[in-house]
Amino acid sequence: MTVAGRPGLDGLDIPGILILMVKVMVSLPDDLLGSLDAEVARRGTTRSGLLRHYVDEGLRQRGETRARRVEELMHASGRHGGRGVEDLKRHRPQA
Amino acid sequence: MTVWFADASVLLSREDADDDQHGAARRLLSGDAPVATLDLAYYEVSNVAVRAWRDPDAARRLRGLVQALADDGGLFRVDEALAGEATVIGAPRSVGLRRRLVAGARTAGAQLVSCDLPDLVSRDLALTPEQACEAR
Repeated sequence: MTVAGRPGLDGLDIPGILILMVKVMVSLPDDLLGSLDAEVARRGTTRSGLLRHYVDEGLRQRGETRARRVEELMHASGRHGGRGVEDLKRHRPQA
Repeated sequence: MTVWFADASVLLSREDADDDQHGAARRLLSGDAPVATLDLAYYEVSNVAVRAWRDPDAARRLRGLVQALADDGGLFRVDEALAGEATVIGAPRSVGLRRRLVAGARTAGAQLVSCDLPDLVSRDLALTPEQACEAR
């Protein structure tokens, strides 16, 4: 993949994965790193790959949990006249 | 990934089926993108539900909605740093809460979402829920 429009990389031919990924340093306690490595070995993957999977999965699940909770909570929402902004301003203390 | 910073008007819109932005507010708050709000929303949504709508059940639901965002890591406290940030943002009218909202969104690196057309959306300080859903 030829890079265009990125300072310092313009015109270079770089494998796509290096452009799309950013390296970061993550601090982990020894025991957690040990657990991570055990799971890496069990799955036959890499630390980076497994961490990507867990981050993606964790964020997706978090969003789904919130969405489900909001829907359950608000299923009985009512009708209040559609003047929420006006009501908000009328009852807002002056700053 | 965009973080949406919803003000109290968006939460009220989610509760009020008569609101023009109700459907979009529902999609936004039930989407998978992270949503944040200010801690002041607890007070504001309760205040409207109880004093304007006279509906304690709606107040309970709305407080639960704020709590759901809080439990998802999306509640921003109006602390001294945020209040200080708010004082340097130029605003045509001296409305402290509006400044705090803009500062809160900026601090969170988030996009402010509001149903307040005259004071926020028309000044390009916020998107409506509908605009936010289209931008996703």
